[in-house]
Amino acid sequence: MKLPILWLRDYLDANDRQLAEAIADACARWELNPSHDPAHTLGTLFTFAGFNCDGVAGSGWNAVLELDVLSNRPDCLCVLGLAREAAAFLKLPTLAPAFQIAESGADASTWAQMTVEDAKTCPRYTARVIRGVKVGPSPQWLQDRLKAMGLTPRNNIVDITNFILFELNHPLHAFDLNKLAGKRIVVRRAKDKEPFKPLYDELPPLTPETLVIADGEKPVAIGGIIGGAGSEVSPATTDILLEAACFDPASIRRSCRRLKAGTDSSYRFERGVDILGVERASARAARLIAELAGGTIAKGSLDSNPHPAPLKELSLRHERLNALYGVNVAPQETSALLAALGCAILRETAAELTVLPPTWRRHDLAREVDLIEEVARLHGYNHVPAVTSMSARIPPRSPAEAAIDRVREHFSALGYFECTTDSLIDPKAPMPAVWTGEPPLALNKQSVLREDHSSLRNCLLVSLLNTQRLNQDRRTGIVRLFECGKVFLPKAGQARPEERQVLGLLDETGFAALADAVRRLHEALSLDGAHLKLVPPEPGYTPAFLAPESACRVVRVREMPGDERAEDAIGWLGIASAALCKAFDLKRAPAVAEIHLATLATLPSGPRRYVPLPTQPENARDVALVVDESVAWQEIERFTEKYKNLEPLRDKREATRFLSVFRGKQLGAGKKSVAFSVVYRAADRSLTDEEVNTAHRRFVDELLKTFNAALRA
Amino acid sequence: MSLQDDIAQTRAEALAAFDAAGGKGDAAALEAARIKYIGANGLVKAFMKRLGEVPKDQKPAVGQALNALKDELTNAHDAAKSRLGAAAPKSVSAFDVTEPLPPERQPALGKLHPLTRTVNELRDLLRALGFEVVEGPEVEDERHNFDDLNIPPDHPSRDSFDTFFLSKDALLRSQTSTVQVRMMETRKPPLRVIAPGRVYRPDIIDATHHSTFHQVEGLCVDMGVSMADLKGTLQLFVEGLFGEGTRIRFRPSFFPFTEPSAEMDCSCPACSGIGCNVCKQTGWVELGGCGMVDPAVFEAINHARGDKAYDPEVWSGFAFGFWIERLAMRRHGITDIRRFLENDLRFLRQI
Ligand SMILES: [Zn+2]
Repeated sequence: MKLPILWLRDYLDANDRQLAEAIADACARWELNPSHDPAHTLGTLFTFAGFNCDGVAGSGWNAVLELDVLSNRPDCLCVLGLAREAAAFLKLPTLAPAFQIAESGADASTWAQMTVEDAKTCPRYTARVIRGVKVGPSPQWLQDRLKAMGLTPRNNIVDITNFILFELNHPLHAFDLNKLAGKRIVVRRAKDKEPFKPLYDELPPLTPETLVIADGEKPVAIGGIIGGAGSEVSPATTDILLEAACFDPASIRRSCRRLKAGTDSSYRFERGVDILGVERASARAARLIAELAGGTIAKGSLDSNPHPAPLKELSLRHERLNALYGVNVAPQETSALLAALGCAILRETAAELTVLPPTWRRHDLAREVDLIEEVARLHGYNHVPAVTSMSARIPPRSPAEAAIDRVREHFSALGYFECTTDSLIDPKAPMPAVWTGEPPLALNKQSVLREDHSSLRNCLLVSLLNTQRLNQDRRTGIVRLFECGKVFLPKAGQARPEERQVLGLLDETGFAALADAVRRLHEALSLDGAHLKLVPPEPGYTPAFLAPESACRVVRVREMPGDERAEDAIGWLGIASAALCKAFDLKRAPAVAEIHLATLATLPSGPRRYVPLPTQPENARDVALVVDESVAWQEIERFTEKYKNLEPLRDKREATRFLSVFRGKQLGAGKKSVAFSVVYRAADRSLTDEEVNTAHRRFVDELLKTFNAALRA
Repeated sequence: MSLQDDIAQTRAEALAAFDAAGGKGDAAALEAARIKYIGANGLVKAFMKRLGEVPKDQKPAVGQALNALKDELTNAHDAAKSRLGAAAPKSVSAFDVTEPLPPERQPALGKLHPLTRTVNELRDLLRALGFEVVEGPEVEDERHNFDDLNIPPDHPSRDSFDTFFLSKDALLRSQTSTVQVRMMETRKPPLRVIAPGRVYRPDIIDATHHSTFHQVEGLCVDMGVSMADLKGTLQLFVEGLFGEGTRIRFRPSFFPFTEPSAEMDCSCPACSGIGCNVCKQTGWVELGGCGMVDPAVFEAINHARGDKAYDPEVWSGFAFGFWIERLAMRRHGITDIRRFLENDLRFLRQI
């Protein structure tokens, strides 16, 4: 909203010196630094009153301020509204515009008729008749004010309606009364495809959803949005029908959307125009027309006002104000600030104040807290002390949050870069069926701005492959990525999908590194009695997005009471299939994994227990075990862990150390030889070779039985 | 010493010898080490001959380990040899401080995403101020995204042009304030929580706009909480974030779910408030929005809960929100918001 200071001063009772002093005083009161130029300083004051000053054109009293008006303050989309604000924070008296008119001759209804068929969309419609006007150019002062707003002056009548729009925030429309068929106004819905030619531009065909102002035959304006060609004021016009009305904001907004049109009028009706100010606006315009274009104002006006809007009084407790604002404001200052905004002070007691808000603030001053905000705002937010006396508190950390932190640390420490990809994806991208085979959830067509951002992803893999592709095209080096993010899986019978927190991984350096990093996740998470293993899927269950020979299920293993183990598949790991690589045009087939992260966050973990470091020497024995390919190293490791507790030489054996794995013809197909080292040690003495050999033999026997294995010859 | 112990010790010595010879570019030393460890009469060969000492049941395992050792040492020798040509022949000291490690020997280095690091920093500061981290869904209903946040039914932000809808009953949250509502629905006051998360708004994607971005929202509800508590909390927060002496200020603003509402600025961390390019010579930078919880929000919560747990006559509260991308962009001088979701490795390495 442009605010020419020249125009603003029409409503401020202050000469140059008084205004400059008031600006300096307000600056001091709000603890702001004044600028060298009073116009800039005034802009800063407006900013701190809640009207952010975006720029100042020119300087001194001829400057024009560019102010942002917040959506709850449509009353300030006009010069008078901003002048009220300025008067309140500058503590200056205001000069009200003149509204008195001299009516004469026959009643308005003698000259014109009016019917409102849709009072819901048009709750208030008034029309005045002014006869015998002389259309011509406006006087210089009026032209200057419109030019300052960026408008081109046209003729005195149109200029006056525009002037009122910017003075009072009330859009008006002047019709040439003699061009209205039947000298009639009918406020109604348009007929389907009813012809209408707007004053400028073209509009899509009308539909019955659009409210029109019609004469006895045809639409002559679209209510609150734009006038029509043919009924407008021209140099030949002598009699005028002056419309001052109010329209339902939501209907105006919908019509503008539908018609792809927007005007200074519709902008204001969308945000809300003072329905109780209709008569004032009409009178002010009629007065100016009579003054500048001559003519006589017919008595009264045609008026449709079936449900007059009420005005509600409200109270403000001083104690409540101080408690919320955090500053003690003197009661007399509170009432002075509210009075400056146009509130009528009805009653005052020691504890509270009762006011009637001004008509133009009927909507946003409706509750006690609304008054509190006004007082706080004009008293000055800079007076709020930056001091809190809230009690200290250390909140708990959720296991999920802690787990995600550790997962992030783990993979970044292992050389993976974390990425953050968009959840909105292109539904035409090849979609790996990691969690579901269904297509991703689509956004409503109306919401979609870009086709490539029109669906909600159901796996992270699609985003990671896109990221690999982008880095491949830009030759940024070897790609190793992870992401902790949400995927969206439709839930039958529910409007909202499941939001699954998952971990996605992509590694161009190959399967082994990624598999190792994933298997060691349990260490990063300090899991207690749980770990991850990789197993080939059951025959026939290999997913299409992984190369068959590489596909593994990520399995979460939990040790249960007794000897039980609970195993759950929580994700996939493998090399991206050739088809997928081709679809994303990847030169290197990456190792990828996607893991349901929440299933790890809920596992028991916690500070690990300290085991005193050994003081006695160790006795190592190496084993080379020929086992089936399907036996994972971790299973052997777990077995030896558990065996430790059963074995008579309790606590004398320590962690097994993996040495190497060997595959060869001599072992036979589907077999491998795993070599590892077992350490024996007693807490308090050196073990004899004899003792160790006995224990080791017994351990190896158990091992062979458990894994159906043989010792390597 | 047992054969196993000898093997372990020799392995360490041999790797060190190859590495040192390769690093210095000393071909003679490398060849000497080769002969000593993996030559025809080297130590590895000697260990093979000692296999007889090992108890019979362990023989295959030790044998396998020895073969693995031989492979490993041969590789290490070859790697060292390949470096000989590249190494400068003259005046190379054993402790070379001027040359980096060759790329293949550099340990891989990963990093957290700049948005994660920004969120973590905010989170840790706010946790010290008593705020617990909570989460909420990204796909929301109208009640949590609008109704209970005091956004009227005909408000423009409810149009499908301003919010992503999946269906009539499901939309992508346009603000993390939805989590405030969910927290108050399920917990009684007092309450101090923050909700970091992803939000969505239909917007043209360009250097300064994206349709997917991140916010951190904070909420505090307690008895007797005032704007001074809000300002005091944020003052401590910005001092933690930008250093002591950073100041905070409020400008009046409007949000449907807070009243009074304010925009919060802090003194420019780049110039300490003197005026520079970062703050466009104003000495201040914008941080986000804040305000006192609107009593209408408390009433909506009470209605949803079916009790009077959040009686606005008893409880008051404040809320604040930061745009993560904006903070991270200012902190690192990033000029294109699209970089965050694009994940060009050069960007991730650099920031
Ligand atoms: Zn600065």
